[in-house]
Amino acid sequence: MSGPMNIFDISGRAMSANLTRLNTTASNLANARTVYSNEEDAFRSLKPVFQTAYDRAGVATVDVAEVVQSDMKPVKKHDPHNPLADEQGYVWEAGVDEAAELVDMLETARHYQNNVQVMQTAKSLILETIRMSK
Amino acid sequence: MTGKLAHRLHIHRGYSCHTRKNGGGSERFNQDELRLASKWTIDMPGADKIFGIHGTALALRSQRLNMLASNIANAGTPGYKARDLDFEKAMAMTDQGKSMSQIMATSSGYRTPLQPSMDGNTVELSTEQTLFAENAMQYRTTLSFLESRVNGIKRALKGE
Repeated sequence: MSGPMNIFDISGRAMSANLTRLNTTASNLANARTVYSNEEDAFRSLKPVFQTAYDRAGVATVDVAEVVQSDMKPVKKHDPHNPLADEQGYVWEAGVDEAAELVDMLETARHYQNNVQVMQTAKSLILETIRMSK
Repeated sequence: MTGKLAHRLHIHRGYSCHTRKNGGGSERFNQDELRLASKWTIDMPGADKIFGIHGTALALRSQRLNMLASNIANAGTPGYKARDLDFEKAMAMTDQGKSMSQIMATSSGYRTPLQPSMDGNTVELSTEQTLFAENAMQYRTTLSFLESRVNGIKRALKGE
């Protein structure tokens, strides 16, 4: 990046990080309660790793360093009538905590909104400065 | 508040946003600071006869706006420590002929959280949002002082 980080870099990058988090939450919720015929293939929830990106003193934004798979165990269920069931009649349900995902979703949306608000305030201040004494 | 707390407990158990083990973070931060300190300097208009103290004040307000925006941006990052600028201290330092980056480095500090969270993040959105709004208002106030100064000079030049 050229030049020092400005307020649009700070909020903009934080917004894309939060959007990535919202996307992983959406993927997790979309795959919740899906069943698989063995434990290895079963879906496990995806989580973004947030990492602070520092610029100069006190100025920092956030990036998604990587998206990792959580260590949550798929749930083993006895369902012999399911066509995906194995010889013993077991299926594995995706390792997703739906309640936690919903809480995550709300928090992410709030963070995103806050960053939008910061950007709006900064934009209006900059425009007021430009239009000074006109 | 309870929702936030519940989420942070989740973080601690490792079901939510994971913290990256980042040993070299502070070291890299210092290097970046050094690298930027050399090229990022603003001539302080402290002794400016036209704008007086308001030019400097506006520059500092703008810097503080960036700092508070950084805190809000990192509200969900585990382990992030919120920072803020001591405006009074920074204003007092502007007369000493120091560069903006020097002033920012010496007059800023870390925020003490009212209620520490388990993931090590010290950003409290209520505090940050209040201070952000307050700072934006103070920026507008400084701007209106500057505006009246400019208008006064304009009137004097036109001889109205």
